[in-house]
Amino acid sequence: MSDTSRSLEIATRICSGESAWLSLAESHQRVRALRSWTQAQQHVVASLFGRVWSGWGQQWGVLLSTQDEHAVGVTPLPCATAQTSGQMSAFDNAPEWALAPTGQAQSTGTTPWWAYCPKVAAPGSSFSKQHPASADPASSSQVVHALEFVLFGSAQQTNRPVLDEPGLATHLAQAAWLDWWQQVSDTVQAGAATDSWPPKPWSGALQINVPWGTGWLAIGLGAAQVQQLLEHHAPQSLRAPESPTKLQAQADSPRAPVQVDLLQAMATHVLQLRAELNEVELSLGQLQGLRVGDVVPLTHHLETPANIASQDGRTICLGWLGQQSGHVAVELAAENVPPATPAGQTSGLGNGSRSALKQAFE
Amino acid sequence: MKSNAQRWPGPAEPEPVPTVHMIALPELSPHADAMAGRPDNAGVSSTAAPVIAAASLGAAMHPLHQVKARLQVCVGEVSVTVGELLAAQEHQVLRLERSLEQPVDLLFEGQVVARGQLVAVDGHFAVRITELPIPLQLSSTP
Repeated sequence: MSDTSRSLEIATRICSGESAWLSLAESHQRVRALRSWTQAQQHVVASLFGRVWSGWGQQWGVLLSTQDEHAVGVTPLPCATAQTSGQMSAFDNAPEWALAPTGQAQSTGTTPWWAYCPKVAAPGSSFSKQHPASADPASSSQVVHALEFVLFGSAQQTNRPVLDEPGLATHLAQAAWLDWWQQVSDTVQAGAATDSWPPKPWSGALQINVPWGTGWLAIGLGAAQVQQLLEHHAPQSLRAPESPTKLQAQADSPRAPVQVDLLQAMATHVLQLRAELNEVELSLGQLQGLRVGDVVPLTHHLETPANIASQDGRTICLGWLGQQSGHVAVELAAENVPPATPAGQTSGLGNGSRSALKQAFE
Repeated sequence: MKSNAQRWPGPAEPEPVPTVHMIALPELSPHADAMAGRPDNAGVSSTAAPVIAAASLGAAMHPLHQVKARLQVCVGEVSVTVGELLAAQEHQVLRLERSLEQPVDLLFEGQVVARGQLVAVDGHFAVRITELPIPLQLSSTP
């Protein structure tokens, strides 16, 4: 089959929707890289947020000791291991999360998402759900009240009279909350490209679990944000690949696996070959009139070797017809016969046969 | 380079009715010498038999009679591994899984529709039909 006809066949298959290949546009739209982070990389992120949280807590008098910074954990998203880890997983109660960007967040899409879990509860309990565009204390009442409880104790939480205007404690908690969020935003360096939410498996998204009063504050980071954090805060060995050039450099390293030729890998694969003569074209009328003893002339010259073809009719090589030990046999011929190669010259099957073999596997 | 056409016996002069020649396939050695399998080593004997020609059936009136069908001619089959095929050399002999007594197959769309004996006609291969499982019957009335 010529290159032109082969290309035409492929184009036809693509147009008819039979091709297993994705178009270039589809590849950009539908294909995504599978991302994940090692435990060491997750530890870097957890330690970073632990330090931020510890420093903010000391500043506002939230923490009881500096040891609490190690209470900050990281969980890959989505995950279902929160119950065993004792920490909340955002996706254990996904319907309550509403991670899809809305309003201002959708237009920017560059800041992390967060959710407040009022208490350490079994998966399935309801969460207070928020997004960073509403870090405004007015729309973050639950998380601010929890902070107020930590700052001023339970009496402030349970016995606080219902007032139209928030009290001083609430104002202070709101200020602490806004400051916390500012520090988080500075850490994440809002502006980095953010992946779509909710995260898909192997998206590389991480959930930062921060103790928050009697509950947890969960912060969701996209893979791009995590990668940017690692680029700035992780040692060189823990930084994620950042460009195709870097990936290529890794592929070129001595540790890259040795590539095996496809035909070598399939050396034990069994092929069913047929020795065929050129096709003959008959009308149905001629076929109907065929009788035993009739002779059907072929267009195949006697001085032309037979085609050795695969089951799908693709010619692999050529061979002269003969016999050997009572069986029909073929003597492999050069590819360019006729005219044939000089007598006595021995050569392996050429590139044409190798190409035909490769095409036979396609 | 040898000229195989000169060594292949055939009808010296064109004849009004083609002569069918029997083909005796040349013996191929497992360690074949060069040109061992070329047609110049084949034995041939002549007989007479009706040869299918388009003109002989031109009177068929059924419209389907003019529909063309391409038949494949399979001389034999063999199973080899890719490794064996890649290591194969020119002039190496590959024995097929078909004995000399077995006829060749005429296939349409991968199905055997007839079998026959391999013969020669006017410097070309030909098949003398020996087996027709079920003749194709087309109704003569629309």
